[in-house]
Amino acid sequence: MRRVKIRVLILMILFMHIFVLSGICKEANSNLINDLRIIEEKMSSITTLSTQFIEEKNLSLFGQKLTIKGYLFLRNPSSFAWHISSPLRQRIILKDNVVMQWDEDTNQIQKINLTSNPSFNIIANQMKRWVSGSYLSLIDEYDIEVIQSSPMKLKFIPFKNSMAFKMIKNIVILFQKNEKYIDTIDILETNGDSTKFHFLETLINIKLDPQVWKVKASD
Amino acid sequence: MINHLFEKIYSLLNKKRKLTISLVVIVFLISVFRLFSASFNNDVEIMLPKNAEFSKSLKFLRESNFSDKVVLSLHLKGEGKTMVDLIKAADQLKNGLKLPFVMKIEEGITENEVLEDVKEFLDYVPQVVSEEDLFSIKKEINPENVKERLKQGYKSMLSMNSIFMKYFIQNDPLGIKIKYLIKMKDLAESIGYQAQFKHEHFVSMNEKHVMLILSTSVPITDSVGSRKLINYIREQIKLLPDYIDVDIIGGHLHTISNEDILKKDITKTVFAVTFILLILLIIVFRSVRALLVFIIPVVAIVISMNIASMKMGALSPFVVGLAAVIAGITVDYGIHIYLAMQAGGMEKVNKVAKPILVGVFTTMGVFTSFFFSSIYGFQQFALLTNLSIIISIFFYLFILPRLFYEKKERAPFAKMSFCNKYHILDDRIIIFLWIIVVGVFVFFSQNLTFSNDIRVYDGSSKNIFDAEEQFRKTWGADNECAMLVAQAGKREEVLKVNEVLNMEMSKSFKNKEFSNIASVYPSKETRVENLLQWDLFWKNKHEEELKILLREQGNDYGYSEDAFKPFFDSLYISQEEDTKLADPKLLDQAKKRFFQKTKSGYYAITYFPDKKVLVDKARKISSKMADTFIISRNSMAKSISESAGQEVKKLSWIAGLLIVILTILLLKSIRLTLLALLPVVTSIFMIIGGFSLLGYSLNAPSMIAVLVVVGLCIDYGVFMVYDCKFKLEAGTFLAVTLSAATTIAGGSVLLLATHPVLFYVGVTMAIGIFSGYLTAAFVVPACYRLWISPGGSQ
Repeated sequence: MRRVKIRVLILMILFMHIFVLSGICKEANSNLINDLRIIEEKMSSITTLSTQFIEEKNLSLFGQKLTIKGYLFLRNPSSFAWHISSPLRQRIILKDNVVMQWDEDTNQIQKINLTSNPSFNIIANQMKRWVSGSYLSLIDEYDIEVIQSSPMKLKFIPFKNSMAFKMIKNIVILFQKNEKYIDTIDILETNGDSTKFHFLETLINIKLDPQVWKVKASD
Repeated sequence: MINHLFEKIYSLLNKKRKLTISLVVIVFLISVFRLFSASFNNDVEIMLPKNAEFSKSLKFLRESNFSDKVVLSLHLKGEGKTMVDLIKAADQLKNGLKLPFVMKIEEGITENEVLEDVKEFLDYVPQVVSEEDLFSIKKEINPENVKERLKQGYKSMLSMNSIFMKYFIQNDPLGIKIKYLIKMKDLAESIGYQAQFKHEHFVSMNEKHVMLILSTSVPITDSVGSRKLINYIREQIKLLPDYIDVDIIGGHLHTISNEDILKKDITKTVFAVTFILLILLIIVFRSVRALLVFIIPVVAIVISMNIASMKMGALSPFVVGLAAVIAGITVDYGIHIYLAMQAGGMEKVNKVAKPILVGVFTTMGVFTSFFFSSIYGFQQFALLTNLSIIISIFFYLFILPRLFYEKKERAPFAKMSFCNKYHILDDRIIIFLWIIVVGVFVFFSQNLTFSNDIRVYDGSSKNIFDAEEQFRKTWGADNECAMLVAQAGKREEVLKVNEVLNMEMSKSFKNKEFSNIASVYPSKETRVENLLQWDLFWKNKHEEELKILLREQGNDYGYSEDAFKPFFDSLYISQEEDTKLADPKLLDQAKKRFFQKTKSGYYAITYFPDKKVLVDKARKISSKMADTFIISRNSMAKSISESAGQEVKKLSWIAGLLIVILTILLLKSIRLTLLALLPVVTSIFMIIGGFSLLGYSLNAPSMIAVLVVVGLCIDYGVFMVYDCKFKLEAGTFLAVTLSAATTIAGGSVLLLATHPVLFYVGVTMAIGIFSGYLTAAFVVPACYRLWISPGGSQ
């Protein structure tokens, strides 16, 4: 009889623990959602964006660090331009469902329709999400952790069933001091390779030169 | 002799009157009861001519998992909900759909699995690289090409998708394996759906729809099962949140809809015919008991349907749909007998019995011709109509007079002999007008076209077609495909046949014009052979040669020393894996579409656009290979049309011959026969010209209706000729007029039918009977007076 009572007591304590823990988890989760919502709200006020970027890649494929410099332009909701100025001039313009690519080596324009190219669509969507701050939608794919609150620093660890799991160990995003835009994106891959984007001279809600949407760069 | 026989039967039935009537009522009630539980045969094959190619194609389509699938397309209603909500709903639905109706739900591949599967597939590629491909690879191992490849690799490392591309550069620097991956992509796209795999589901490119493909246990030809299946799916859909809308796409819906529409059309037609007949009853016959004249055909049809289904299995709904028309046919004899009775009792009945029997035999002759058809549905039609006529005529001749017999003459108008007493216009004017009208219709008949679209048999409701149209727009399933199918008893055998087929197709078709899995999924024998060749190739100095070139040319772009180690590490397959030769998982989706295992054996399918030029090319290839056949909707429709055309032609000849022979035999005069046939010939020309004027194409259902019209018009001709010759004074003209009116009414009601088959039958009946009647009523007497009896004597 006494044993039964002890068991009941243990079970009750266990249930209370589960209850309390689930409450804590719910609270933590709601805080995170709240933080992500704040970021999204701030970022959603961005109608246009112009920023310089420096991308540093440490890849096992190459003997040395690969440094890429260029500019990123955004015009919400659906236009995105990626201009690389070195080591090779290259442009990628995404407008609605069409991606256009150009590089100085071939001097050819390649047009890709995202509706008929699912793999490129996935890549373009992922890229748009990371640079536009739509992180709330990533909550099903990544375990998101707030590392630092001011300026905000977030760590994204892909879930096992997500596409990124086999390739990416984690992604860390640090916001600029004024938290208006991203300062750095650090991507650590599962094989030890890493890529770091650093955004500089970020200008928000400015009038963008129409030339930035031209896929072929003028000399 | 006939009179003597009739008298014998009359007296026998009169003695056992109560027993006879009781028996009829019991048989009728049993038939009605059986009819409620009867199922219809919705299989289109029942209405197709016997043809080895159709049978093969239909057998394959029936046994394979193509036709028994149901596709559910889910989407969000209104604003405020996201893709996550849609996916959750899809999961809920997926978990709810279970056996016995849903056997399996085709899964989308998770993105995570795709990457794993791609790696596995790249390791598998050496098994599919042929000797010819190795020769091409050899040509690619040169400084210029290697440099270009490395430059492309370097450039891709600067782009957005560098994380994905890195794997391919390290594992496939020359792009040898990726070519096969692209082939795999082409195979996936050849299905016609434009979908992406996301969150373990097929998601539309606009990310607003999710698709579930259900493999069901219910064949589309099973109408009862289809109804249960669709109801089950609808019940599960009802459990979904309000903001989710689901479109159901599948052949089962067509089966149910066709059956429902036919049942509604038949009910509508029966009610309308009954209403029209009741009006006639009240205005012309002015007797409630005359109702029996119209009830008898219904009783006869119900009994006939039971007998026919006992003898020939489940009836085609198309055949049953013609039951209303058959009612129109048999009621004609009842009207003649009723009016004869009114005109002069049994004496007049005996007088009209002979032309009635002539009409019965000639009409049965037309329908008997359908027994000679290779179309099983037509044979059912022949049995159903003949039984119906026999039962009706038996009731009319031997039971109806006993119920009605009255000595008092009630309808003096029934006595008139129209042929001799009434002239509306001068006979020459009538014949002249007839020639003009027929001439005009003959002129227009030259523009007549024949439709070969078998979709005319599909009368599914508009919302089903709308949902399918919407589905095509959403999922990009626009291109119709034809199939060249290889068939064998064993898996390995069919793969070998498919390899040969692929080779032959490559010779005659352009690369993008066909999709065959052989290039990425050959037989095991070929795969073993390919592996041996692959090993020999690389061991024969090519590995060393490539290593040197990659090192030399890679320096310019900063590639590391062991940048391509993954490629060289996976170059040779281990002995253990060599013996297993397992199929890579990435092939699973493609295998489901290009490879089928059924109870009859294995099938490998090659898809290509359903265009005549390509179907002809494929047919040439297929003619050289015994184990192959083609499935092309367009080509099949054409062949069916040709076969059906030949079939109808054959039946028309038989029917025509039987009519002429029977009419000559029964009328015993060539001239009278020609007169009796006048309404038949006129109605045929008027139908052909009328269809042309209305802009309709003549199709198989209307061709059959033409034969029905022929059967009726010959009756009108015979009756009018008899009336002219024997001055029956038994209300023949009125009977013919009422007969035509009831049949036209029945046919015209079919114009209101939703089902295309019944509609075209209605158009044919309305035009044919109307023109046939006018010819019989006015032109036949005019010709008789001018040609056979100019002085007014016999």
